[in-house]
Amino acid sequence: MDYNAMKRRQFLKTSAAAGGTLLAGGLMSSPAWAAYPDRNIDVIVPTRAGGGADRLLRAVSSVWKKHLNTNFEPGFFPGASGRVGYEVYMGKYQPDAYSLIFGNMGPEVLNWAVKAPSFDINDYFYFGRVDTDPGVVFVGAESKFQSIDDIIAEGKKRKLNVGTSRLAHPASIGILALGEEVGVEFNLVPLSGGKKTVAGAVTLEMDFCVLTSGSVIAAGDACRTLLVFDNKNLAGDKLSNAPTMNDYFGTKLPPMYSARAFGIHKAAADKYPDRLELLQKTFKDAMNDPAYKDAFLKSKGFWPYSNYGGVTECEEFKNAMLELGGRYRSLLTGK
Amino acid sequence: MDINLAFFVELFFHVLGMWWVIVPSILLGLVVGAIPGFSAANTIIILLPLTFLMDVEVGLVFMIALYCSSRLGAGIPAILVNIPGTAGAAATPLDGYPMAKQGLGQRALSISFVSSIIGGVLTTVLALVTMPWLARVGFYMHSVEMIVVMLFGISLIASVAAKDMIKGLIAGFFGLMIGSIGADHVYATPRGTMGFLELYDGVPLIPALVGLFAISEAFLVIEKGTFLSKTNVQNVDNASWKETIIGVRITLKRWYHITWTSMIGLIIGVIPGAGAAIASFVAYQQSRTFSKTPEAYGTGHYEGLIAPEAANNGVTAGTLIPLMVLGIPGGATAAIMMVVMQYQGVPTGPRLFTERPELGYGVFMAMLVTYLLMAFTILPMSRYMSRVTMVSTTYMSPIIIAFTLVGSFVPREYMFDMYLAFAFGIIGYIARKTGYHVAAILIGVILGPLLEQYMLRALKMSDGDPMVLFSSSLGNMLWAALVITLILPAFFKRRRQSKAVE
Amino acid sequence: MNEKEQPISSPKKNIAGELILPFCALLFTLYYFSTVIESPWTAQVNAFMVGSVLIGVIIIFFITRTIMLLNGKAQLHLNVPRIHSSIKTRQSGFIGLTIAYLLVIESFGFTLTTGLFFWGSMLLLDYGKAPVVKGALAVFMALAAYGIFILGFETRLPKGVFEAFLTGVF
Repeated sequence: MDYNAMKRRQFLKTSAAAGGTLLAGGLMSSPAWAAYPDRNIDVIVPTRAGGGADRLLRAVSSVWKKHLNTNFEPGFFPGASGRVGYEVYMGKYQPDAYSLIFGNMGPEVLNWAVKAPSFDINDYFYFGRVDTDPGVVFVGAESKFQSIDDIIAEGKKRKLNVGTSRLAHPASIGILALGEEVGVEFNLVPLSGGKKTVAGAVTLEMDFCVLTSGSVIAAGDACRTLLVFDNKNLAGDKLSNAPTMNDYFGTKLPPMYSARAFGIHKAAADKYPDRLELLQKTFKDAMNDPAYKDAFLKSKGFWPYSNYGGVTECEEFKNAMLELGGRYRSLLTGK
Repeated sequence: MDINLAFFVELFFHVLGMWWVIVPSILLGLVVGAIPGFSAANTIIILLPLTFLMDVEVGLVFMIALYCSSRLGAGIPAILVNIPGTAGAAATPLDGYPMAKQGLGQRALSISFVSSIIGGVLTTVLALVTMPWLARVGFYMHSVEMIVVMLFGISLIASVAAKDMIKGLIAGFFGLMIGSIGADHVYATPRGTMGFLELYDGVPLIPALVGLFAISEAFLVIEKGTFLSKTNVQNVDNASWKETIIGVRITLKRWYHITWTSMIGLIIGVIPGAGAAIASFVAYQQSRTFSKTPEAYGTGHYEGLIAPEAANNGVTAGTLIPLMVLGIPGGATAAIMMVVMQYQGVPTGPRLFTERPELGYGVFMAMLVTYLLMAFTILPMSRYMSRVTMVSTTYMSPIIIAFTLVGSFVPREYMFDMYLAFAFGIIGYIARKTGYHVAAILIGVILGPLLEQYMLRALKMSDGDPMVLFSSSLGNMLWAALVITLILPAFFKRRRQSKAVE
Repeated sequence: MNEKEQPISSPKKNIAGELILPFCALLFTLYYFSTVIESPWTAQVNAFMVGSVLIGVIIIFFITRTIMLLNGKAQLHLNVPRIHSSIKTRQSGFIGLTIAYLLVIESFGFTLTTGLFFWGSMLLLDYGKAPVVKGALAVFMALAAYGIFILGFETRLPKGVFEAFLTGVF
């Protein structure tokens, strides 16, 4: 038995509740001729209940369920920066298109670049992107830095400490790329989560911080944004009308997004291509449904970040993250 | 709107008028606080759709009442059956449970409730008055300073292990080692996880807490048949309302003790990311250090119960200050409150007090009213609650086991956490049977990861230079205070001995 | 507590029991070291600081106990704690039931397993007295737990036949 299989087996033996789910999954696997879907679809979320992914999923599923004519049942499996959720999904759920994963293609795919999971990362793929939220450079309201130029000028004098939620994060990659571009070395300090990163900037413990823009927008006046890792600052004054990296420095860096998307087992897509097709079609219909915009806004989402993407866009993004993760691997792993 | 005394008086009566929200929330909070694994934060998450539907004012009052009362609720099983349901209540059983075992459960509950309520009221009033200045604490207490604060708590290992220092240190450092399990905070390298992904984020606290304290206790008490000896059963049987009143008197007499230990809670609570566990251990350690009878701690000493209870209720007001004043949540419950406030379009941070002062100050007023109402709703219950200790272990042991295993499962909903709680139960059982202090192991498990997190952050910021630990003036003052508090007990002891000789 | 383990006839302290925890701690620390030996310094600094102190204290402990053995102040033999045999049986049985509870809960579901656990352990701890009353109590408590945890708080506790049946009914 190889190492990964062994680890997976060990994990399966001990992990994640709902033994009944497996039993029910096995007993209730729909025969091929039954109309799909004839029961609820499980959605595995690799983050905590009550967070941003939870709210976004509620908004999407409230509309998608009408188009697919079935309900979605979320199951939250947080831990190990999303690894637990993916391991549960790939190891515990049948590849029958009755279970999906709702992950974040940015940080979670970067995880694979840093340390491979126990499954082959090509054994699942994302087919429906919901939103894209760019990384930003920001400071606390009381910081002396007023612009990205101030930071670069100071960075040429001393090594600045940059707070980030974790190293394997698109925003961390963004600041490393900026450092390369302007010839400044930044010291990335992981602060274990968005809230602590905002606190690191606000209390001035860090010189500045990088994070997904949604968390910075949520912090309101407590923070000031200085740079956006996107092609356009879609949030305008909510992000202090900060310039984008590509505009300001003339770089051609791909956007550093957190991008929530639905994924599915590759085996399910191979075995039931009609089911995947239905999922894709109804997902796209749901995203174009005016009711979705209402649900999205009601969940306090920032509408300009709603950004539908299909298999191709998701695949491109996943590959870009893997490539960036590979390029900065030594900085992200310390090896 | 003028912010003057009339405004606060009007606000007080306005919030008091919402008693119909507060009282049921208090009862719900007591229940979820008393069940291990549940907390105000995950209850609010469960009830989030309902909270979103409420009027913002009602929603905030509901969350505040739930938050405060769950803190009190956690102390009840910690005292009566040695089950601290949250990390914040981990120091409560150190002296609370020995009291219950002596048949003084009712008195212990009364002391716990009164010190919690007074601590809560004092710190809430202080928070209302000094909010803008207290919020600045987070600007000075950075990683280096927090390392020293953690060491205050960790030094408690030496205190609780005073009777047998080597065995105490083994237990404490074993706890610290267990607390080091998980991915490292910088490069996420898994360490000591034995291949379990569930341990990547470190050892989950609830399984460790309930395993070491409650499950091991459930296995042990079978030998005795009851939690209490025959004499102590008599004590509980004969107890009348007087016991509650005695508890109130004992606590009121120690108002000064409540004041300064709740201040410790308030200040630690203000620091984003710190929390009730640190506060209660530091308060306990400080209380013991300056006590004239340090040797009585751990045997059912009143101050040993008052200190952690007053402190963890001080934290409650503290964690809301950074949210209200700066817009950054100080803890898990505050973070969810922020989500609800944003959902309702209420600003957080400085704008809150200029645009919606009735809500900004109202949050603290709701806290004040909740604590006052709890005095009338919870205190009378102590007499009936304490009777739990009289139930035979035939019934209590299975209930404790099932209850705590479910409690271990709840926060992450992993079966693994149930197995882990059992494993900790066995470690706790062996430790108790062979003369090791489980509290020492637990202090290591709880505070170890926090210490490492702050230490790595400080070292990463200084590119690995250890001198960073002595790089800040406030940090150096705290180091000096730490050294003094470590030396003081020996000094006091010597002085007492020499006085006794005279 | 150690006093309890000392055979009354012998003044010597039996130190076998108190060696278990340090021995486990030592093994775990060495295992922990092996997992960080090739890791970046950030993964090692805490382990080596805490681990080396722990190993140092354990070595001192072992030395003191060895001296006690050599001086004849202690003895080392595997001696089951001197407690009444019926208690011992009940205690081992109860621990066994807890292990069984954890092993079957995923297959049988939370409510049924909890009910059986309550019934079995109450009977065991009370020498098999009043099985019907205890059965009724176990059913009541298991249903209350179902109501609170699965219906009330919607926790994802393992579901089995009983939960499936109730879901079907309602």
